[in-house]
Amino acid sequence: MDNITAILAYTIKQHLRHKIYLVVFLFGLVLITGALVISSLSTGRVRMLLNLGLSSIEFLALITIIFTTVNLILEELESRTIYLMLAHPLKRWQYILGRFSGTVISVLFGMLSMVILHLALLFMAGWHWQNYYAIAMLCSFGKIIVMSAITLLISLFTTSAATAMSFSALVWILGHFSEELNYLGEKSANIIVKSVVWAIYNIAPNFSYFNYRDFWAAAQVPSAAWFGWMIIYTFSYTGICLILSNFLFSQKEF
Amino acid sequence: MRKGKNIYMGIIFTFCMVLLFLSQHKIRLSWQPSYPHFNELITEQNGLQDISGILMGFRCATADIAWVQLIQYSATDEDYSSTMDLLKPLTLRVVRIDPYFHEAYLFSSGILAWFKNVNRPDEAIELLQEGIRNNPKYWQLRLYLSAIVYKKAAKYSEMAALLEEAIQYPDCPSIIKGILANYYKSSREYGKAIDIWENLLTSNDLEYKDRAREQLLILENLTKGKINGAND
Repeated sequence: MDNITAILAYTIKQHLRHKIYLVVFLFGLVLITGALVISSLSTGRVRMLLNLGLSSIEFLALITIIFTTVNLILEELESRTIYLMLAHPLKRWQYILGRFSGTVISVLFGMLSMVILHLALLFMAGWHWQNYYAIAMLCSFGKIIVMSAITLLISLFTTSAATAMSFSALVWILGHFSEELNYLGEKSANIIVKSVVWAIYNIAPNFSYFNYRDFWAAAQVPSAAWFGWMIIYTFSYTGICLILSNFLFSQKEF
Repeated sequence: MRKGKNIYMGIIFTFCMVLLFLSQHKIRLSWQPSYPHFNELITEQNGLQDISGILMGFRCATADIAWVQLIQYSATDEDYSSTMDLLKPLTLRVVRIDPYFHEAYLFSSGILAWFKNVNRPDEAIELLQEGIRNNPKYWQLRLYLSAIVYKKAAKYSEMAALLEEAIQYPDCPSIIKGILANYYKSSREYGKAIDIWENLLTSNDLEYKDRAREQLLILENLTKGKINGAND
């Protein structure tokens, strides 16, 4: 446990000092404030400020998670600092878990700081607190956790950072396309197409479930049990990706 | 030792897999978000913008950008003297991206049904019917629909009573309040029109604040004229 905590603390420190992390969050502050300008172009200002702000927070968290997670282990492999790490009495799964948790915590910390700014802007625009904001943010956190685990896995089976980033971005898009893909598969008469689509639909993460900000106003909202299953879905998906990452990492010869 | 560790990892992996498929199954069975499919989107020339926004997971923000474009289109003609041919497709574009965007249904159906030069109540009814299908519990849409049906049947007092009820709700667009105030003006019920414009004067809608000031001046002159006429 001490080993994991030490790696976690080291990772958080490393990320907070990282230029990309700081630049992205500065850009986030600009983007959220920019939502003020866009929202003033039309009626329904608060709705726009709310949606554009929530989307900006998630988009910047996605960029941060892709950049930081892809370089998390690749950079250490290239600079050979990983030898120093593994020379300590440290198990590889502890290293993977510590690095992953540190990255997720630092990104969630960044998201929280953007949430504070966003809420300040919303209150200034006359918005009153509604619980759906907190649920929407928790869903967004869940999505970022799953995405981080997937990116870590991808970074371990690809050899270059650019490939890993492209693959991760593709998974993100696929995650929002899976319902539509399933619909297309159902329409197809070809059994091979149907099988491939079925496999992708069941293996790829379904990120549209996490977009609570899109469906909170729907006539039929999900029950509390649904959210319970969502939590299990998030952690089981993350767990599978981490176990596979650990497996790939343990196969590497140093 | 290594073999034992692998078995341990294998058990956790299998457990996670079971949990994943079970939760996925339960989620799909109990509730699924329902949105129009891509072939139902009305993208006009903005297909790339709309579809990429949805694929990136920013459905509401994409609908908001489409909404700004709709507002820009409807505001290009400040006097609403054009026939607003594109208003219905532009509104459908917004509500097919985000079917729960209540204000889009209310705003556009208001223009389509009650603006004299536009006068397309049938299109307004189509929009509201789609809105009711997507939002069966949002009853303001039914209220608007009833008011439009009364308008079509030339039952103006019934229509005004329904609109009077609609404007009591905080999410009623300013445009509907303006429509009702103008109806009262045309039916010479100046007191009621003044009440509505005074209410709009205190709202956050800058465009309607200016319009309220203008209308209140006009109505003041009209009521003075009415009083003078009665005295004579």
